[in-house]
Amino acid sequence: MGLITSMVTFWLLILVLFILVNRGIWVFTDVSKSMSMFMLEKALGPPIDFVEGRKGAASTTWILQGTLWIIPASLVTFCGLWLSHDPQALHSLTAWGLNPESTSLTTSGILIAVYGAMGMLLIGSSMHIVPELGATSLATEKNATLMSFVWTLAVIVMFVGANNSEIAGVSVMPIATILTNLVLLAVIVNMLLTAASRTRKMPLPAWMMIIGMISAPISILSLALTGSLDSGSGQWLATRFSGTTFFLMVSGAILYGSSRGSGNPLWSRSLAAVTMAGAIISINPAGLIEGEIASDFLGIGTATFEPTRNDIVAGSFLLALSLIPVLALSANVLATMRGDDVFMENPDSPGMPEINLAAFMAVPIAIGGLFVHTDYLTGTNELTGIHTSLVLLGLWVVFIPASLGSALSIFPEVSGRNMLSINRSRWAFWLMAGGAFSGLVFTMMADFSDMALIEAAVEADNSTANRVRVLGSVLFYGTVIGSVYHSLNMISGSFRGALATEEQNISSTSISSPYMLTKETTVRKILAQREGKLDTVVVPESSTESPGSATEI
Amino acid sequence: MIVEFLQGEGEPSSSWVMLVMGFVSTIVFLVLYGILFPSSDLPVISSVLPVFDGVFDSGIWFFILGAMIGIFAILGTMLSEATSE
Repeated sequence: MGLITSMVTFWLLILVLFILVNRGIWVFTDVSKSMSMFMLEKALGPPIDFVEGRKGAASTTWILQGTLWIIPASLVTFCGLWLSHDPQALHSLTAWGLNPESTSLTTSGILIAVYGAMGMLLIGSSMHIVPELGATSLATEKNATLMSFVWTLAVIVMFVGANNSEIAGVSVMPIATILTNLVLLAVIVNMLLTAASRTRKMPLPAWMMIIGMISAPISILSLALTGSLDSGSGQWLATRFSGTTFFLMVSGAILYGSSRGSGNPLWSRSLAAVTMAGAIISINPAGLIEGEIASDFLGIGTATFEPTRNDIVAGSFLLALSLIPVLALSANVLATMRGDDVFMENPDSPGMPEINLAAFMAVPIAIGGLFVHTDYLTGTNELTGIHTSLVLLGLWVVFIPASLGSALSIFPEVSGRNMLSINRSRWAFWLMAGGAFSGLVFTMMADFSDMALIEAAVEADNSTANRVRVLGSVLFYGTVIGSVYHSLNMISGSFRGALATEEQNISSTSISSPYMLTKETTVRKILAQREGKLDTVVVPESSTESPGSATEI
Repeated sequence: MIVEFLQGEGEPSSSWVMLVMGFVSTIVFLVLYGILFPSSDLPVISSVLPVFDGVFDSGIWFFILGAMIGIFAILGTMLSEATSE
């Protein structure tokens, strides 16, 4: 069946599920609730007693592991970038039976970053955001904590599978798929039970996270129902759906994080609704362009990508539509963080710079992705040479900062302690952001240079591009150092950081000592007196024009 | 007397001077090396320590070792934080 049939099936399934989640399953609601709780805790037997059931324990565990996964993700990506200009750099590893190549390392770096770092950070954040917005508590902290370790195991299997697809005749990737889906199922059930026990109307960010998680199995189900999984278009669409899943989760996380960290209310509910509906209706341009990765995950043969004319028209239109939710999200987050002026509120709050960067970069990266995907869909293939760099750029300057920023903004509340040092946090941000942006922009420049030479049919080795790739990979190393800094800061903070209950949250509306203006003055004079900063509130002293008179005794 | 280790939150402005000096001297070193040894690549670990010849013979190993130091720093931090009184 065609692309549009799969999309319509996906929309219908999501709609039915949304209604069911809100309305319950008739008389089976109570039975399914108690049965699900039993399956999540008691049915697991002794392993469930190994983990902690304290409030916030699950969220903390997922966030900590997610942050730690950023280190191998950035390191493996760095090695992939390095090997693109020096393929023999790691030849000594052949002594251990390893034969790392640039493409396999880059792909495995992307997978670790997406599932290990971003996935864990987002799931960890959702375990705080959903109960918090529903004014309830997570259905089972113990199961959620236990599942984090299974997810980590799945990411390790994924890494092995990306570099060595078959071990002893067994395909490795499907094992990772089984493990991740097992965990995802437990997390979804946990989230649905939590949502069912909500005591107030849940705001949209929580729904975005829940629907985002559910959209992962639903998308594959809709492709299976329409029989598109073994076609090239179906596998391409499966890869696009993973972009939808993560986009919805990231949107929920940063909308919550931007409001939580800045102290400002969410700027627009309508834009949040547009983000959610738009993400479901459109085809997301995030992620790898080929459908091969989806077939690897599902353990099915890779089909040739031969879209029909209808597929091209519908796909291009739905891809173009994806810009609406991206613009809505970016505008909403930036406006929320800035409040009623042009400056970011509480820029030292943990995670705020990361969220700001992600919201700022989301639009240009999405436009770039749109061009590359439309180019691939229409079979032009003139821009496919830069697609890996663009995916990496989107990952390291939008998705990872957004998920890390949101996780950092809620970490003090779930762990009970603040980061050890704001200063180190700032350094980590600049290293990660600067390293990723500059390194990947240089790599993209080299890609463009290679593409130009291929087009001109020049067969000689492109030494200029290779030199630029050296610079790109070395600059990207800043991301590795930044991730180490972030991890150290978070781990030390969870032991020795200032207690979250002790520190007052600085809000944009509560300035403890406003500058009292008694007569006309200039901003320069106020600043010169070291009385004020850019966000100091200037309050005019009340005075009257009526003449004074003697005080009556 | 037990002396504690203290670390402030504020950053002295002069520390930036040291960072800039470090950056500039690195660039100067690289330029000088290119002028003095124009046909030679930068030395790698195996050219400094011949015992690693054929193993660490690419510049990437400097970076990988740096990352390994970072990972061990995290492990060390976790152990010391968990066991400190």
